[in-house]
Amino acid sequence: MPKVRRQETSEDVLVDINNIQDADYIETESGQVRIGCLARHADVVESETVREANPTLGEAVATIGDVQVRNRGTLCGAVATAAPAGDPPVLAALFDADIVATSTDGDTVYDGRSFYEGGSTELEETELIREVRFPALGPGEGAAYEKWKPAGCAWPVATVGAYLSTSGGTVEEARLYTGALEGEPSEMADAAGVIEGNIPDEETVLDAATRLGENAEPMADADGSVEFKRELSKKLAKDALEAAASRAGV
Amino acid sequence: MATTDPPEPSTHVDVQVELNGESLTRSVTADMPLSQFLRREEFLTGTHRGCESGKCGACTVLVDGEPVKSCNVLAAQANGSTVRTVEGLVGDDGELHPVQEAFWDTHGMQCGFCTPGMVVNSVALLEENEDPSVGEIREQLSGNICRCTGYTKIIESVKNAAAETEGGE
Amino acid sequence: MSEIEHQHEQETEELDETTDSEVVGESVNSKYGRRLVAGNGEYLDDIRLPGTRHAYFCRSEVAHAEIEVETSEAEAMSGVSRVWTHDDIADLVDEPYGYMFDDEVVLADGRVVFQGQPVAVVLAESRQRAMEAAGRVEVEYDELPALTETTAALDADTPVIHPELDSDPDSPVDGNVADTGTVDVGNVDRAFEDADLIVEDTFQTNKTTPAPLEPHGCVADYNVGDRDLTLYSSSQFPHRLKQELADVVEPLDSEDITVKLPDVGGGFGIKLELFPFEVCATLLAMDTRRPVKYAVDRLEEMKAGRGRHNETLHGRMAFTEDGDIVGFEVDNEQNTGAFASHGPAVGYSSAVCGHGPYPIPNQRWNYRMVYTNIMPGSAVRGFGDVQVTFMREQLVEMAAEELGMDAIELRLRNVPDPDDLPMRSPTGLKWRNADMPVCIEKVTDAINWDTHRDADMVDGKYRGVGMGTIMKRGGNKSAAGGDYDEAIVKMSRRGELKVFSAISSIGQGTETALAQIAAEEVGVPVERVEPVVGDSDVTPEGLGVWADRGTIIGGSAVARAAEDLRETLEELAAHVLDGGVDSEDIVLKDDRAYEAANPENGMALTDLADMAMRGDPEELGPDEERPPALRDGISLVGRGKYESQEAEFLDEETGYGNVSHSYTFGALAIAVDVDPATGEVEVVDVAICEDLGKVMNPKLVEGQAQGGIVQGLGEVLLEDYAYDDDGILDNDTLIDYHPPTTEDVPLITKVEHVENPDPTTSHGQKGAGECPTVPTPAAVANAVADATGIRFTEEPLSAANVLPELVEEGLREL
Repeated sequence: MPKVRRQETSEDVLVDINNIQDADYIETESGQVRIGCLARHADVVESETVREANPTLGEAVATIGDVQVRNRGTLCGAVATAAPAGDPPVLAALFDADIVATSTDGDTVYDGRSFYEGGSTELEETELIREVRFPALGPGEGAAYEKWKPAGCAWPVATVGAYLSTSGGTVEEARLYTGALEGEPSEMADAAGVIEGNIPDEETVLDAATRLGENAEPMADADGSVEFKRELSKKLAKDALEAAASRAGV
Repeated sequence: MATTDPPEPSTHVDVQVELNGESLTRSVTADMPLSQFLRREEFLTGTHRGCESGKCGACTVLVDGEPVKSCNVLAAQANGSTVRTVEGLVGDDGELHPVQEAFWDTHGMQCGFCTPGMVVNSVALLEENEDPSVGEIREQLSGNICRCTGYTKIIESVKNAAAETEGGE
Repeated sequence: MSEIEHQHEQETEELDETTDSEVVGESVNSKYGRRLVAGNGEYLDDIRLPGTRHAYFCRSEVAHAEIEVETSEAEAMSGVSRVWTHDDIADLVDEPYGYMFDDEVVLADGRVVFQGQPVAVVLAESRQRAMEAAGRVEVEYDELPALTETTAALDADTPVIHPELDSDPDSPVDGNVADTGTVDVGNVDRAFEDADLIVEDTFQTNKTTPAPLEPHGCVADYNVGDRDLTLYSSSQFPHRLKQELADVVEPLDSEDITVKLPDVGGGFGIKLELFPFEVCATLLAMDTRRPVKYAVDRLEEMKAGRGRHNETLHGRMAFTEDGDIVGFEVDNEQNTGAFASHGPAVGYSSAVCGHGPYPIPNQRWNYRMVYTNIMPGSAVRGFGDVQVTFMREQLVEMAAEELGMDAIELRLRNVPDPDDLPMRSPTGLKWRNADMPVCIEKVTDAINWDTHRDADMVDGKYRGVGMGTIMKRGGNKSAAGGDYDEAIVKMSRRGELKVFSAISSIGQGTETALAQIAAEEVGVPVERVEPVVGDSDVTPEGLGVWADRGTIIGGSAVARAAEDLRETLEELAAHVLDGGVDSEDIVLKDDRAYEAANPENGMALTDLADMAMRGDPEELGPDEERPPALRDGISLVGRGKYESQEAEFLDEETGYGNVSHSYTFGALAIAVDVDPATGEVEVVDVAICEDLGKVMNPKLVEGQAQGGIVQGLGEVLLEDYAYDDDGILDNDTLIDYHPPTTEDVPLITKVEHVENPDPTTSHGQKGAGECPTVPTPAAVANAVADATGIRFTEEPLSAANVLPELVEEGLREL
């Protein structure tokens, strides 16, 4: 919108999708939460469905922008726009969401995990994301999203998403993603590997968090040096892992 | 989704909107922001422009009861909606809305430039939450920048408005 | 007791008798508040004159370059009626110009010296079209090295930013040094030789902008028939602006210009000079004979508005072992930016006032203003005191630690007791009265200083307390060539009262205080007294609102004007009421004039005013038989003028002198938590106490205190201009530059004031608006030092800057 406001866009035609009927749904189906392309951030935050199926999603979206922004912005839109410090792309990658794109040729479903690799999204110019599907978490699964902003309602400097799948107190699968630090969702497999196969106790969590910070490759800018951002991400990772573990019941 | 013939792109869009209680039909350019429509087409200059980035919130209005930044919404997108601006909060008899009254009495305003956005957003909050906590007020107004007051009296204004309206019932 | 002291004591006594305030001192609602909350304010961009055309600049995209400009493509666009560059207006402007130094041009003349500098101006049918056309102006840049730091600018090899001034023998400019100055009192060298303790460090403050939410803007309207220009501008000083504009625009004299202020959405000192957009709008209006509007937008403001100077302050303080401050030596290098603007005044006044509330006998200040290729600094709230205080108060607490003394005790030892005043500070400031010890004690009590001081960690965070002090100028004679204001109060035939003053409103509420003063004096309820401000034709001469002078100087002028009217009304009432009442026994109150001893014996002011205006001999007796005050026409216009008898020009050699009319003392105490995991500094509690002499309106004054403190918090914790090596601003939007939001600052409720009335002002009032910002960054830095043991000498103390230090000191905890 800022570009439209200043007439700095290169395109000639603006397509307004706000009149598409029945596209603002949030519903569960087959173990997934399906979010329609006109569901606003505010809708996701307030949704009981989301709260029950995958509370991290609603909590994370609640931190986007401010009330006014959340009343207009859509989750699918944010997934598509892939702002460098945006939260929905990190969530889509973390949960390996099914990103349902549609065009005149029909639907294509992209995997959240690979959608952002390589600096831009896989979305074609002819496609519109009509739905994003997040997994509903079950017993033994837990996730969390931590975020640090330099001031209220500013873009975050660093975000960390954590997902744990556990069994019998041990982590079977761990996923760690950073956001904002590197301008896109970044999978921290090495750090996740520290915790996978282990009990997520204090020391292991600290190790994994430290490893994440060491591996991160943030860009220095007006909001902080590389060192600062690395240190920050350790803290966010620690908090995210602790919360995810707690939610997974371990 | 149903397939229909795509609409023809046009430079102008017909907008039907209920603005501060009045039904209007206007033809607007497709790329006109709602804030410009309000300020320049309808001469409602209470909605202000402070930042060019969709950040400051001085342009906040209510669209279908929800606070939005009118610089980030196209006038065309308000078609079929109800829009309330700060001017629309003043009663037919010239009486201030209780939130406006509270902001004035509590001095939750100094230069007044952020005030319309603050007031409108606070009205939305109180319509949903009759007795918000300080934390809830902070969160609701976090997208509205003020440089004069330091926010304390703004938060107190909302608290006072809440107390007033509760007491009134 | 000296003669001065005796006189002041008498005046204070008189003041106590007369100021039985019933309106002054009340928390009256803002006079403008009702229309502002209703959305009926009229700010600059709300002004819509028929036929208006819109102007917009093509602005430099680089910080330092020789340029060539090609405008044909822009000119050819439909809807565009003018595209001007420097040469098109060269004959119409008296350049170079500037607030203090003549170093500015309206449109760049072959060279640009900072990013965002205007290169060409476009006039078009709409602002949008003007913007598009400005984007089509072709500028070829032959880039020069961009200087963003003073050290680089002072390097012998770097290019000179203002070569014409450098080579001008009459200009103080030398290389990239715009000017230098000193303050030298006592014997600094000996003081340091004899000292038991010397503390010393270098402090670096940050570049910030107060970013009033309403950007600059103007509408220029030229009436060809009258040959008169009306300039509406979001500005702070209408009468001076008129003069500044006349000085630059050749075809106009001052008498041809009227400056009218609309509602102003904040100023904070950056709307206090003439800007190129005002000159261009004026010239375009004259040329096209259409109103021309230039509403500056935020993106322009961030790069090419104005901000606070960042300074490098090297300070050393000398102490006796008992804790007396005996010497203070400072080298202050001010990053002036591309133009001097108010820089030299910021330099000299913060030097002469830099000792704060401590009358240090031996001081030497060397200050220099250095040109760089960044956005110029200006008269931002605090006017240099904020930066100096950041240094001074940290040196004080550093010394306390070395001396093994409590920092509060050390301050109490060095501030004047009320009985020490009146006195002249060692640099010549006339301190009439103040109770600084009470201010210090009140704030330390209010935030439970000792509890926080003793605490190490609370809930896993490092806890600390710190203090900053205030000794802030009210007025500044040297900056304006005088310190005066004139006022008129006018009563209509029906008893309606209006107050006319040049004191503008920028949100600080002075206009309401003026209404209160007049209302109380004349007896008209304040709800029905209207201030009329900010119009160079209508309002009498004055210097505008800055340096906390509004209520002191402007308010005192209004009081005199109101007194003038009151005397007339009293005389008339005495003349016409039953029983031969003496005018001294008349009370004006609640819209009536009545006999003090017998309130029934009175009449409504509306009737009195009507009688006065008709002046009918059948009612009042023939002219010759009336009291002198009622002869030759009974005027209901009261006039008053206030000139500071106190302020002096500074001595050129020593910098000595009483720079301002009055000084406000105060203290601010703050408790913070430093998060060992993120480095975030969070305010736990804050209290301020100032000796304001007389609090004219507690609600409005409190609002100013809260806002001023939050601006200080923003500057020390969140805000920072980040230029890259090419002088390009990285964080050039309000998203990337971080003003505080509701989520970032605490509720500020501990605002208390003491009142030792100033005997020279109408109600004892002292300056208030700028003061709360002054001590805040220093207090925060001191608190963080107390919490962590790490002294941050550079601003901001953002998490990004604090966390790495915690890591290095082994204080970091995940």
